[in-house]
Amino acid sequence: MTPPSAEFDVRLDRVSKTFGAVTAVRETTLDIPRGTFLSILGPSGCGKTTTLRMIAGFERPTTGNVYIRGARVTEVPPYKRDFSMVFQNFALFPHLDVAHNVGFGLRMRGLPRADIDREVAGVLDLVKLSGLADRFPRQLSGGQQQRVALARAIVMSPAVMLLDEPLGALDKNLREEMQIELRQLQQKLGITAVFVTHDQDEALALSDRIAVMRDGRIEQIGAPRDVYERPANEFVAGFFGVSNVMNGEVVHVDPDGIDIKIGEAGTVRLSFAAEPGRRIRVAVRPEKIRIARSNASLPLKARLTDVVYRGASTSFFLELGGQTLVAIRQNEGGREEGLKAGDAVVCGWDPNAAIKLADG
Amino acid sequence: MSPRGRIGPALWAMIALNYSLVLGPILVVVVAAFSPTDFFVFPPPGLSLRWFRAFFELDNMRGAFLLSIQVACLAASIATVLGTFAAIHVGRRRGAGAGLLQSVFMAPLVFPTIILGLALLLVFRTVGIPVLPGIVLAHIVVGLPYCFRSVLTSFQSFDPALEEAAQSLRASPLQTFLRVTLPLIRPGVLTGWLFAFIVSFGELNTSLFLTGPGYVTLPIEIFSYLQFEGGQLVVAAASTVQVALIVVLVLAVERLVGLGRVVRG
Repeated sequence: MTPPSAEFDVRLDRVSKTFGAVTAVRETTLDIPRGTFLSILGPSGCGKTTTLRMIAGFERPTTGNVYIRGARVTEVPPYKRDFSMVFQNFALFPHLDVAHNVGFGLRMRGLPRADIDREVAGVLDLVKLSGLADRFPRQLSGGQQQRVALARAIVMSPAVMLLDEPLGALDKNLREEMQIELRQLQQKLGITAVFVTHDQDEALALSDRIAVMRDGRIEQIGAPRDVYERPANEFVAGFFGVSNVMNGEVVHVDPDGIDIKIGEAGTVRLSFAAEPGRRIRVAVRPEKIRIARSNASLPLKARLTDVVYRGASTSFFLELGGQTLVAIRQNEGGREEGLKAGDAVVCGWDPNAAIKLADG
Repeated sequence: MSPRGRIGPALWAMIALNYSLVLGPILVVVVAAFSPTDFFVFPPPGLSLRWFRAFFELDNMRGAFLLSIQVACLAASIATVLGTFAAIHVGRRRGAGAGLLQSVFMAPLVFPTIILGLALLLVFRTVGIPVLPGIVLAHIVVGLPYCFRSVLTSFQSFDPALEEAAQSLRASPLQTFLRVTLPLIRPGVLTGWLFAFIVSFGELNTSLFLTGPGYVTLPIEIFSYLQFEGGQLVVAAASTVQVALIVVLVLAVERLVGLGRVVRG
């Protein structure tokens, strides 16, 4: 292991956490460079919140070490660590008004009153809450409470800001609005942020890097485009909405790619390498599958089992070679071909569109 | 006719019965305390303060009244501190352990206080605890379940994430308690103190066992006065003063936290 360096605002070094017989986090190592917005993404119970709480110090790792700005803080209590946190239900102090909620941390730090007032006014301006300093949390809307929680965390200028599904309590429209604001604020201030979420769209929209967790392990970590376009395994692919996983046999290999045979449906070309004769698993996103009644460039024969109209798009459920696929097509009024369940169709995809999963 | 309409008269009768059971005896005592006659006549032919004057002129009564206030203040305050920590401790636990601890802290409530008085007397004799600290200790034990229960109720609606939020903002555990936890459970704490005060102020059973020369609380003084001197109307005045004091305290706490809100949760 290389020694921890201050380039990384947060470093987890082979950290594990067990609760009784349950292992929440297994031997996880994670470096978060300064200024990075990192999302930890995974289904509930995958260990993402426990990971966050170990950075905060609310949980102590069973094994391994936590570093903040190069300093080992594994045994340091939360109130002596350099972080701030935005909680799931905001956790605003109900007995304090907005100004005192936001100024709470600075007061604990012993800042002079005049400095606190100036900092609080500044950050309230930043989150567009200037007129509401003397309101109490219960007098605010959900979005306003969210902004107060954010201001309270930002005003501390922490080494790292931890966010525990902070947008989960908001309705859909507000959530999208807050995503943009949150991203803009984080970039403007250059704060290192760790954001825990189970919502892949949120992670994609906000992050510099995404760590996908399952069963206490990080399955893949990378830029949003990487994890989305090149998922490392079936779990990550599935988590980003790839429902189409097919088994195929490599029947031809040449320098440009391979041909695989998918049951009785036909043979399709893929642009990655594999050994001839191997059975492999590939995934294709629903929006990348093209279908038509007949088209010479689409090599696979399939049968439509269902057609579901969804407003902006239509989902086509296909059966080919004993396997089920779904294709999604944007609706562009008038261009429909009147495809319906039971029709025989052909389908295919660009050789680059297929994702290679583990050899099967 | 709506179901509510049919239930109406029966409901009203029940409410009236409740009120008369609770308030009737108190009302009789209060009215009697203001009577100008030498003996209890109901309704009294007029109004006078002579029995209140008599109450405060009796050195024993006045002394017992003041001692009871002091004991109740001290016992209620200590019981509140202990009960608050017990409630927070239990409130943070989950599962069977929490239930067991809760029963332990509530035990004095179901344990007959006359037995408790006897038990404490034996313990205090053995250990050698003087009379006054003994009485205060007994009153702490009797008041503790009320403080515990009332703080626990407040604490159960307290969001533990608030304490983590405070710690994430550099507040030490002590600062977290003083600036976040305590202000938010304050209604329960004040209500607990009030109940402990009232219980201590009226506590006779344990005090009877534990009292000694020079340390007579008001309930004991009233009890023995009734037994040996028979002046009912001085006792009525004494009781009225007791009730008045408690009413003033309840109103004060009501103003401070809104007791109604606390009781309703």
